[in-house]
Amino acid sequence: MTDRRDMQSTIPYAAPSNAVPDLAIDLRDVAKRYRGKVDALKGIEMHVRRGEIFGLLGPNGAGKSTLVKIMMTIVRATRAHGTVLGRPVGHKATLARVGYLPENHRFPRYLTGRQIVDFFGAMAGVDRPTRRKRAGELIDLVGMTDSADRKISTYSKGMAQRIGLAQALINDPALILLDEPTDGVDPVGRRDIRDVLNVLRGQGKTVFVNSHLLSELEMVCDRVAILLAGRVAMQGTIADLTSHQQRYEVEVAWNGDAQLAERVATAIGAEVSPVTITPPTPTRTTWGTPAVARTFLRGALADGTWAEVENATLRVGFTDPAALQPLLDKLRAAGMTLARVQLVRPTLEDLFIEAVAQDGGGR
Amino acid sequence: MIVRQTLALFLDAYREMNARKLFWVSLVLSGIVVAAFAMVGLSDRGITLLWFEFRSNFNARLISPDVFYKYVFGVYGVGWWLNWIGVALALVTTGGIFPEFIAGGSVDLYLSKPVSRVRLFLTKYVSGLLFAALQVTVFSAACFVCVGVRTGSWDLKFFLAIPVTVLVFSYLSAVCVLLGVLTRSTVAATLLTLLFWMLAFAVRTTVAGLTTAEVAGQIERRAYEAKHANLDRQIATLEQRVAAGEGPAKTSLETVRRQRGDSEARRVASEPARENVDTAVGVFRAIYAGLPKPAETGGLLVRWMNVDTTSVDEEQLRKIDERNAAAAAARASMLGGLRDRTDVGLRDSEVLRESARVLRGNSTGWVIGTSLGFEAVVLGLACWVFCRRDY
Repeated sequence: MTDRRDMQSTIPYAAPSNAVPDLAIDLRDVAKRYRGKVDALKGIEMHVRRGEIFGLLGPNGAGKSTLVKIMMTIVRATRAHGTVLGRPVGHKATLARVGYLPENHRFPRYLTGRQIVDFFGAMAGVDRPTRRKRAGELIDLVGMTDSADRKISTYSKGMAQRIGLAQALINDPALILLDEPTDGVDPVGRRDIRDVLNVLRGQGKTVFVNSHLLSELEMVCDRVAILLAGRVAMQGTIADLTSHQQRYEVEVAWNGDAQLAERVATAIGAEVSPVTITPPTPTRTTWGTPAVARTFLRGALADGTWAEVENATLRVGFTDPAALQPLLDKLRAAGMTLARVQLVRPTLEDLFIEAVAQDGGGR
Repeated sequence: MIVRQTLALFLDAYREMNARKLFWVSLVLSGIVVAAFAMVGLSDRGITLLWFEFRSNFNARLISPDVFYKYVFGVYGVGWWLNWIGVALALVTTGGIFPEFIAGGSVDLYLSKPVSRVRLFLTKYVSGLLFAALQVTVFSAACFVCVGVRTGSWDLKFFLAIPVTVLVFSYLSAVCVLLGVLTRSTVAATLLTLLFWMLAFAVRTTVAGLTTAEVAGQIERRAYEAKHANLDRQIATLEQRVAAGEGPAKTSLETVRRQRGDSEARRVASEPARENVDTAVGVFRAIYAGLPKPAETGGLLVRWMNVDTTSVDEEQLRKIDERNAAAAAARASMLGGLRDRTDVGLRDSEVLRESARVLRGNSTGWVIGTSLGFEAVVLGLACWVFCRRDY
């Protein structure tokens, strides 16, 4: 049933005909102003494709949880257009096909893990035989078979999180929203949860993960969005988002020459000038050895590609290996030994820090 | 899906109650009350406790054991134990249901399911009433068996205690839910609800007291009218005798006229007090009408069980009559043998009878209807707050 009675009446919604079939989440102009005139969300545009794992990043207070809660009808949007699984945002009946694990969840402490999975399955509308069958499978999937019949009050945070994941999957959802799923979970548990997410992706489910653990997201997400101060600062695949920062690094064997950086720049014909770093950033040290004096030159090649040399390391703004070859030839011709050539891709953390910095610290 | 979700919520409520120690404490206490109920009996010579007999005028010749048990069940078992102590325990036990339900991290799990907020709220509220329903069902069944075994009277009306007690609890539970939703605090919600209950009781007690004063005032007004009419007739007679030249009648005429004047002065002087009582009783009745009536609702059970307690009431009133007899005789008017009823006390038997009649005059429909009206408003407000809030 999809009649208006199932909808939160105060939320403006786009007609379902606007829904894009291959999008599990298609948010347009989602805004939330809390009492006290606090704008938590200022017009979110976000698109999550079916069958992908999508990561939502953002500093504290960026509005990530508010956005998730709006999709789950826990928070009422001030303005919300778009769809979730092809239905308007706020459509209650659609939630039968959505699984949700909230952040800082508080499951009834008088229930066992199995009872929790069963109870929330019933709340999601799953019939009893199916619940019983799936509860066993899911409890096994999250590795809680031995503890499933214990009261949740005896669980560790990680165990509760695993049961939380199982209850989010009991209704065989097409879309799973996980808010900080690895919060309080040990490294082994985090790996297990990652494995579960990969299994879900393999089953064609869409997973929406809101997490602070960037490295976790980087390992599993197909696409990410970075939320800053209530707006989507960027979204796309990690490769797309980091492509402008990709570069080749060439490390020349250190020969004790204090002028090596200048010689490298001269060899490749780059127009560079010294960059003063204030305060001086210590050169990366190994096992606590003192930082050495650092020479940092920055400029451009003859064709305009940016280039910088830091001691024995040359960085150039190429992602095409063919374009790099002439430079390597010039370095060899200058008698230098190449110790390392590597295409460097920024991490999600680099991307996140850059986005936050560009936004002025997320404010 | 609706049935499945509702059953799941009810099962969850049962498990939640089961996990609360107070649920079992209440049940054990109910068992003790039933045991005490079973131990007390009535013989031709007095009251029995187990195999001991205490001689008393209150015995099986004054009231039949069957009626006695129903009376004790209705007045003490339900009226005192269930409607006061039981309800208080239930409030303390269930006071945390909504504050815990709407706590961050808990309510998210419920709201994210395909169930509307209104249905979720109402189902959760009704499931909270299960506590009272379970407790009173066990208590009533035990009393039913107990009385059946002792008297051979298997009266199903004992089970009327279930809807009555659940009704009483529901009025206060609605207040507790509203306060729980507003404050999100178990302690605040429970304590403020208990305070509200005391307030409602205080208003009812005030209405009862003012009604007694109002009835006394009406009796006084009627007494003044009768007395003045009597004095006026005497004055008219004496005036005729004076006009006929009967000399001694003149002195009597002056005496009666003075009495008439003094009485009128007393009436005028005391009338503002009666008018104040009339105004106050009107105000408090209006307030009372808008409040829930747990005590009066509990009292309906005695009414529905057809417990004939007249003999008991009359016995009490007869004692009051005897105490008042001497004072009443002293106040008897010399004029025409009329008792002077222009200054009746609040413990006067006529006042007590009449005010009791007035207080019992509220119909079942009015008592339950106005209480449910209050509950609907409070619950509607709580539901509105619950549905509008962001969590």
